[in-house]
Amino acid sequence: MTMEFAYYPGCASCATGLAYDMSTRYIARTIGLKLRVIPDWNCCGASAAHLVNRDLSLALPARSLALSEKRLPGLDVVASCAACFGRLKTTRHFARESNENRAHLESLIDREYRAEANVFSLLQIIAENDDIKEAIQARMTKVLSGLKIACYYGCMLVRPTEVVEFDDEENPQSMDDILRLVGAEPVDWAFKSYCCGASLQVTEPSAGKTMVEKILHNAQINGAEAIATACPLCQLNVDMRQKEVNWLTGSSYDLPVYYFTELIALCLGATPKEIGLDKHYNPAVTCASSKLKDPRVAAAEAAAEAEAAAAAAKPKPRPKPKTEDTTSAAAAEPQPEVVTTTEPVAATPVAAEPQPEVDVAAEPVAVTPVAAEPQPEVVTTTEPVAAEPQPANDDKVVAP
Amino acid sequence: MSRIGVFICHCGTNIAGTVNVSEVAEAAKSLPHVVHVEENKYACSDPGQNAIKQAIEEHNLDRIVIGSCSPRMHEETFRKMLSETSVNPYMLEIANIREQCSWVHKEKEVGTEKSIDLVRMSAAKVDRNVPLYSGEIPITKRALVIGGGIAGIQAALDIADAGFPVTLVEKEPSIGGKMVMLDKTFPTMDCSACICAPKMNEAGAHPNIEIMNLSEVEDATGYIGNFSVTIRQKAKYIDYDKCNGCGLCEQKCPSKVVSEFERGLAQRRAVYKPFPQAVPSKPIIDAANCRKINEDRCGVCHKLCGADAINYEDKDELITQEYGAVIIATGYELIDWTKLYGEYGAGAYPDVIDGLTFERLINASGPTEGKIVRPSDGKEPKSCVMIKCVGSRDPHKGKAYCSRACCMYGAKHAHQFLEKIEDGECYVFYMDVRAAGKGYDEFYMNTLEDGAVYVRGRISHIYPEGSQYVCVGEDTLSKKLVTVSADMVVLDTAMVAQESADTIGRLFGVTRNLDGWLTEAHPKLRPVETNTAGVYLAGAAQGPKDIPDSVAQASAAAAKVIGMFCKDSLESNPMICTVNEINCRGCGDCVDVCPYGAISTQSVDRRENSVWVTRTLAFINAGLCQGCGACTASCKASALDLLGFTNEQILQEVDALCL
Repeated sequence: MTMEFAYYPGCASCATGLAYDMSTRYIARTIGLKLRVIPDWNCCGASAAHLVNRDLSLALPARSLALSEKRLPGLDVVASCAACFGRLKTTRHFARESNENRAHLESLIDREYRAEANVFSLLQIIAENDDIKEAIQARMTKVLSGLKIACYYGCMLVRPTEVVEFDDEENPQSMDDILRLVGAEPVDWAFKSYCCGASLQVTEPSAGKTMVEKILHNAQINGAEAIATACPLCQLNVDMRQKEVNWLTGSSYDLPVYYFTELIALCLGATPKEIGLDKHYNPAVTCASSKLKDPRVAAAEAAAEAEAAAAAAKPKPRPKPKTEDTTSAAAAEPQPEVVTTTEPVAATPVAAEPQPEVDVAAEPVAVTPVAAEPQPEVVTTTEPVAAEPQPANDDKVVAP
Repeated sequence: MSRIGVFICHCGTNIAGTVNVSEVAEAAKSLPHVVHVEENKYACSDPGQNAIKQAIEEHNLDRIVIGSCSPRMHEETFRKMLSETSVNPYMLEIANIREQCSWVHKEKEVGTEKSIDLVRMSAAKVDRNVPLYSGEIPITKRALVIGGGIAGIQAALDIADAGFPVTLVEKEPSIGGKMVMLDKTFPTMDCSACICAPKMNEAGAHPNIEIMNLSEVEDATGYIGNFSVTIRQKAKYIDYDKCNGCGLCEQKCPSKVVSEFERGLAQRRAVYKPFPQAVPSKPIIDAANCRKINEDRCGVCHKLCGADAINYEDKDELITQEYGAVIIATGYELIDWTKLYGEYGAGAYPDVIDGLTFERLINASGPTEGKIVRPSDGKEPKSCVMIKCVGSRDPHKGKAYCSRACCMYGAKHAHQFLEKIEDGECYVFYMDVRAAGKGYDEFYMNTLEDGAVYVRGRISHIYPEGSQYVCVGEDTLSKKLVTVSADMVVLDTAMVAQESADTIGRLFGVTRNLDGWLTEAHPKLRPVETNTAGVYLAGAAQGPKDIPDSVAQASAAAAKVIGMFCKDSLESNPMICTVNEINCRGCGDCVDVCPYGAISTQSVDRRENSVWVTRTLAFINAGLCQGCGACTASCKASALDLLGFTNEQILQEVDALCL
């Protein structure tokens, strides 16, 4: 299976979704996945264009796709942002419906467009490409041991089924499977493909915040410690608006909102700064970092836990009745269950384990150019050091 | 030499208004072989018919042309009239100068000229007519009813009471269908088993009814009055001649399986009766789950059986019998909503159930003895949401049609829930409420008075929160979003056709529509007949319906069968195809073309040129042939001809018009 794609970064990758782009490129570099940026790509139009004018909403993506066909022939296109993916795929779908449609697009963009190259979302290529999954597993230096994560797909990645041709619209599993690979524990929850409000957060904030609150609430009551997303707007909305939701509703949600690529990158050895983890609104560094473990250590711990659970489930041996023979009485004492482990490391507290460098200092974040294209400076909120580390979410009182 | 009589009807002013009848009559006089022409005010009336009969006598006519209304109106009338004369009923041609002439044109010149042409054509054709005689089709006076639900049972009882033997084939171990699973039936709230079981018992005990349980129709050939049907009696592993139904085997069987009858709420054994009131009241062994049959272990039932009725070596049996008529009453299934509605949990939530499962819950003889409890934890639910039209009226994901019974059983469930649960809350989410039946709307109104809250809108999402289920919907009348946290959700799911209807339909040549329902001959005027003569439909097999309509259709189908059986034989249609053996070369193209399967090729010996030769020839089944003429057109050797519309007759008509 191919490890080379034409890459459509999308506008968010250069701005509010910088961390998504950084972590994606880190993964690509590390596992040898070649993402070739489409030269002179333009904005896909997102949700704004198709509300205004249908031709515009199709022409904008069509131009980028046509450029990709010409300059990166033979390569399928991958887009990390869910909206970009949706628009690009819809345009290709439209073009393939009939020759008239395709000709119409060609006349709009004044370029040839054969609509042959396929369009995938980033989540899709990782989920469906065994070579990529194997490469990730081969280069994993850490696992996210037991991080309870709610995989939030958003509304655009898995709908409409006839267009996106990917996963299930009501209970998708692809992100869950990928994060399980890196050691996390995806929780079962009911708002996986629920809308985050998208641009409503700007135009109709009160309605938008209600939608974010619902997502946070359901993730929390289903035991999630954090949320993973695959869309820059989902990430932004659920992350940036969390504090405002708390102010408005008196709740105290404190769920870090990750890009699934950030989590994978961490397991591949990235530092939080390398992948923009320190750019989040809701502090996200500690939660994931604290779960990172050496894979062998994590495996040993898991084995020990399993053994303990099995031993606890075994019925205790019945105490032998006391006899006059004192020598045998001692031997007849019921033996306490002894849990033995071969790894001495298991007995030590978590804090003593080797941790990857976690930079929690509130230095001004320097943007390290990780890709060939120049990145704009991203202003991030400074997080007060004193607030970290955060206690586990389960202790918090959840307001309805 | 033909002696043709021509009779032009005025039909009051229907024809005479736009056609100069006298002119037409005058023109007819000069047609070849026409020896008598007459006008008539109303040819179909008594005096009109008598005038024709008299003319036939007086002028020694041997064939007649009637210029009148469409043959679809009165061809039968005039054929009957001719059967009382010396003229063969098929020596008749009708020139349609009404529906296809006087009713179409406005100017008299046009109408008259066209009528003259039509009469000339008919006269030319009738000149070539030959007398035709209908044959007799014998009738085997035994009926086959496929499907032992309430429709099948009712049809079987009606036919058996009329004195004719009936075989009732049912694929499940017991008859009773879906009706016997229900608790109470709307609008009277009769206990369903209390009204169904007596009929089941009557059918089981009736001397004229033979019940074949655990059986399916495997093959069928033949035609009306003469069907030959092969039924596979599946191995029951119990000898019903010896078994006395004591039930000891079932008590001791160690193999427990999920009960299909209890919709997954309870278990049954491998040797089992699906429910206590089963007819036949004897168990069967489910071979897939029997330890003795699969692993040669156990054998407890055999050891305990006092009647020595257990036979592990039993095999399927194929039984072929002759039947004169078949009634298909295969009923319905509920749509598998778990594959369509992921937003309702796709079956992962145990307390989100369908209507039939709810029926088993509230049934006093069900797994909870009639207590409404949540399947997940056995606790009594205080609040319930009922969602209608799940899979129905949904062309996008489900079926486009309305399943007809759900509005009423939804109201019934709401009523029962509120009756049984103290301080219970019941919300019914609907699009419309269809309560069109005797006492139906009153029943629905009563349910509203009971306190059921009807919300007009659909539920878009059900998800668990704590021990409850949050149902997100909308009240379209007040345009507000509505969220209900309910302990239990009942989905009123769509009725779909049984899968077996596909096979059965093919066997008997009955088509199905796009949704799988068997097609009736005419939706309004012939609802229980099919396009295959002798095969009838009854009940939900023809389309979603409730019990009263199923029973009505069953009796209607039975009446058709009894009407047929009361005759000694059936008259076959003489206007069928014939084969010219000289021209036929046995290519078999006609066999493929015939939509009624009426043609077959056979190898026969013929003496030709003083030598016996073996030839393949086409043979027409007079009982199946409908005289459509498709084979005649397809025959490359011109060996096939349609009696009553022979090639020669039609060419004469064309010549009369065009030359």
